[in-house]
Amino acid sequence: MSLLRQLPPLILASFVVVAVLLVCALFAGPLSPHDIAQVDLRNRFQPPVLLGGSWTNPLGTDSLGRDLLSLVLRGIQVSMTIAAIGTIGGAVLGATLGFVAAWIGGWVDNAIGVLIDFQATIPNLILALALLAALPQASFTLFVLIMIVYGWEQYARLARAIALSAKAQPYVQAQMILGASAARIITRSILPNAMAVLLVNMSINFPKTILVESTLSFLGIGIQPPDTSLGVLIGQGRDQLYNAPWVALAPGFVILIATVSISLLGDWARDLVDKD
Amino acid sequence: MSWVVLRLGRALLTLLLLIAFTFFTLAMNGDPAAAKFGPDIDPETLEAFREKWGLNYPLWKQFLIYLDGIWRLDFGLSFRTGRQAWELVSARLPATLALMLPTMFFSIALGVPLGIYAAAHRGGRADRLTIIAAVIALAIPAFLLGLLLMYVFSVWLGWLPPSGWVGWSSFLMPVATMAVSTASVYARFTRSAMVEVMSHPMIETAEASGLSRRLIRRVHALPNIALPLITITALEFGNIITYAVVTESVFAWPGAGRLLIESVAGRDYAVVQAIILLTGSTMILANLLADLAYGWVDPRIKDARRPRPHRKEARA
Amino acid sequence: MTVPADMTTAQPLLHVQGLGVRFAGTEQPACEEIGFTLAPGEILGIVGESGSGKSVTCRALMGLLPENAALDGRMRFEGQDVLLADRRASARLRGPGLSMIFQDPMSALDPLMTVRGHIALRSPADPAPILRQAGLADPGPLLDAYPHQLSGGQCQRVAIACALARDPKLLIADEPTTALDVTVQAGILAQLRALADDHGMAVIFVSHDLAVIHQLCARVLVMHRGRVVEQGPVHEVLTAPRHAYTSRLIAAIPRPALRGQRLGLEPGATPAAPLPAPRAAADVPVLAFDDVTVRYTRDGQPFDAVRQVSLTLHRGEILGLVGESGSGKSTLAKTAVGLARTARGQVRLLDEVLDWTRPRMQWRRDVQYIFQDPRGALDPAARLLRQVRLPLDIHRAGSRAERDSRARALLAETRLEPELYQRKPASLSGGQRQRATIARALALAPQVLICDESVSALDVSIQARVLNLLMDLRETHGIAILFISHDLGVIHHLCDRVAVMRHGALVESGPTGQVFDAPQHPYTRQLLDAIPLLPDAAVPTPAARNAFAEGTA
Repeated sequence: MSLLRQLPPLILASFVVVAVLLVCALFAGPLSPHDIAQVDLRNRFQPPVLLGGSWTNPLGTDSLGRDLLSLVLRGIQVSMTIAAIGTIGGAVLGATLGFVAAWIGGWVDNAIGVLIDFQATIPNLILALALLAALPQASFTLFVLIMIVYGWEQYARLARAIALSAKAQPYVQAQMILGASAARIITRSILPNAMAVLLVNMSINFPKTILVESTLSFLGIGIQPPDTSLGVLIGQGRDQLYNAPWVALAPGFVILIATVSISLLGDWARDLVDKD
Repeated sequence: MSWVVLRLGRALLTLLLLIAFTFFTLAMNGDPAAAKFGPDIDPETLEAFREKWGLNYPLWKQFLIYLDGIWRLDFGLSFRTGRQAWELVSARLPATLALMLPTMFFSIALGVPLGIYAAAHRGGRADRLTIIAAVIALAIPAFLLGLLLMYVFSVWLGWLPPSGWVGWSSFLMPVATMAVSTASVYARFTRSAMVEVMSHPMIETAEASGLSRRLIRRVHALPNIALPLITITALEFGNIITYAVVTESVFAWPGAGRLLIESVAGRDYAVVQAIILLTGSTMILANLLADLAYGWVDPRIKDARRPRPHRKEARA
Repeated sequence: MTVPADMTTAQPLLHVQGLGVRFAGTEQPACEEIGFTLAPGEILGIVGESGSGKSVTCRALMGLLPENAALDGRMRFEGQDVLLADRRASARLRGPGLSMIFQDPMSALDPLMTVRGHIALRSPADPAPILRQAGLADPGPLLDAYPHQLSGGQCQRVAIACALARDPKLLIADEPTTALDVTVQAGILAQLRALADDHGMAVIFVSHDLAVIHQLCARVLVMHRGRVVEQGPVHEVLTAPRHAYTSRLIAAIPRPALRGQRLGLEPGATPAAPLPAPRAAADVPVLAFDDVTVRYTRDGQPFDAVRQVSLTLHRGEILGLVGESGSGKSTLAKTAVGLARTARGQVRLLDEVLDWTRPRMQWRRDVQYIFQDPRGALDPAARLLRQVRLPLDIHRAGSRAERDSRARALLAETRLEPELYQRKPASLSGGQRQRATIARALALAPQVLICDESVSALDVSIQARVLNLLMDLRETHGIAILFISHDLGVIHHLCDRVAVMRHGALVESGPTGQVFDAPQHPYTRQLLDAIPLLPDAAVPTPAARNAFAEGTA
């Protein structure tokens, strides 16, 4: 499946988008023209430059008169950070459990298998909602933890399958015969071989994590104001869709190009790996 | 038929785990008595309630009492409205199903033929377009797609009612929002399953004895992709539930999904747990049915020569 | 191209001319200028090693090649001219004209369709006679069976029946018996012979195995690097090969007359140089299986994969372990390295009982295991040198520099060039990989080497080199080798003693000559009868050797 390979312009564009987002996430503070906490009710709903606004607020202002560009930059920073922590954390958690399940087998494998089944049975968003509802107070740390739990079972399944098939491979059996420790075999032999698949799954999972975070924040049960994320911004802007559509559409556009370009890259990477 | 028993056992185990999960998150949520009566209750009534509902018993006994309650669809009283949680939920279910079932239908009716067509013209323009469209459709958050549709068709063009229920046209945007991503999952999955089956050696055997490609696709490929499609349908069911939750919130649709969000925001745990248990058991049932169907159709599983095949990943 | 005189008189069924295939993005054509003629009812063999283009040739005739293959040439089938580039034209001939069966019978059939369904797709006639024609004597109970309920041999016969249902004039069989046991292979070969003789169906039989070709075919095409290097009557080609490649191929095949000698005509090596006779095995037992039983659970039922087998391997000895798939030979060997556990009985290494619940590192040095698949035997992500150094790393043998130089020495001993040491396995050939696994197995100077079908996946010329290497090792290191194989020819060539296993039990064992010349057990006789043998006269004549020498000069 080399279809996306024949489309380097699209992939190139995706790389550029991701690079720009990365710069925005890393330097959100210095790049912001205004302080996001700066409320100015006299300056509400300023339109963006394209709709005849001024360069003081290139993307316009929201219902509290805050500078939308600064808010979007902060939103990118928060959303990307949470997605990165969630993706990496989920991969580490899932891969570890998957390797342990495959290597030890027996009841450990069964127990982890039941957990995987359980996680696969309850839609992730619903599970996150349940945990959020049970928490007495919204907390950033707990929210990040929930994002880590999101999607772990995919890595666990992949890692388990890879380790199981590797265990039957002569190159692993040869090391077992030589008396190599399980830790050595897993970290030095199986992990390097599984890395490509895990990385591809991470690149596919990253945009999904952004989606879940922004969905929860959009629904008002994720990141809580006064802090912001892209989802929070869209949630705040949905009520002004008639009079000030840019408040929702600007962060919406950012999410759109972010998730689409990362997904395209992930899909492209998977094709590359599948080909080998 | 031992695998049926095993499969049933696993479904029951998962269900039990699900109930334990809600039970413990409930316990984490604080004192159920306080949650039931609110903060203004006098201590005697509280104690009487504890006695009556066995809240002074050890945890395992409480769990059994909890199980018994669930068995009778008693999920407790809604904290916000004071009504039975199950009553609230069941009143909202029809509206949610009215979104989910058409979504399911359109997703399969659009996605599967598109996937087959793309696979048959593998590498061609239609195939490439399908893949890119599917990647993009899957990458757009449902709430954003909903808002965009609303902006274009309600705010801008003024063709469709923006939210709530005013008539049949109210269905269009919510169902479209939900069906876009589900249909692209089906299209991608069908395409890759089809490509995989068509590279199986049995296809070459069939071609070698002169069967036409059309016939081969019908008699060999379609039955073989039908099996993984059953599994994917059970898994997609969960995604559709997720989309329903989001879409109902965007379009102010009076369904159980919006109720869930309102209840989570209001920490109304009785309602939340009722919806979660309902969702979870529906999913467990859907997966169980898919596996049973799988075993019934696939002779290899009927023979129990090997355990259940590795479930195909939802991603195609 | 020369066409034998008797072929020109009869109207040929198939005449192929200038067949060439080139895959998009490759420099070398997969095959070119292939031409041959086939008479009705004739069986033509095509022999060649992997990558020689024999399968591509067949698929080109069938119109089965993918779109990225550019085809050239023409064929005349039953008086009908077809340009091979026109896949649709070839496709129209499929079924009643041409048909084909493939190497892997288990996946050749639709897992969701019964045998009856497969036949019904192709012919409205009663399926039973068609299956009988394919050699399934009692097709009744098989009609409603699914492929997974059949054995490999039965699957291949159903695949043949699928072809026969359309009553083809020509059946192309691409390595149809390679994945099957030798007794099953004998049955399939006899069936193809009968179809050719009784029904006048022509057969193109593709194989890497010259002995099989010799048994079945009247004429043979020898292919090498996409070209036909030689063709003619099988006996002539085998006894008096005209092309250097053919002589080399023949010389690489183990056969009775070359027993215990170096195989192949490697540049620099004296042809068929005799190795010193095996040192008198000092009768020192190094590895002993005493009454070993291995029990598995299959479908919830306990199942004995190995039943009460006793076997002893002496120092400096090569012991052959023979049996068909499922005979338990690998399982028995795995008890010596802890990959399988004994349910009863014990395994002794140098008089020490192996207890794998409390393994000792010394045992792990003394016994090494070489697997069948040279691709899976090496870590795809690690460089060669590191992999050969791995045993030394695990056992912390010496400093890092010492390990490195020892690994280099081992790689050199197995004749791998230094420029390969930093490569990953993907860029190595099958033979190079198998030599690297041997180097790795030798790193800790083991007492016992277990070779589990270690040459089965290799082409004959590479197999010959590995066999030579094993004999050298026994000679220089006095290492004891347990050599597991289903290939009796190889066993006969290499081993001092042979043990035959069937259904988990030992049926016969003894010195190689004795077992092969006077087998005691009927199963051993059956096995020996089933192996296709090359004619003894086919030993390359001095003239052929000279031809080869000139060819390489």
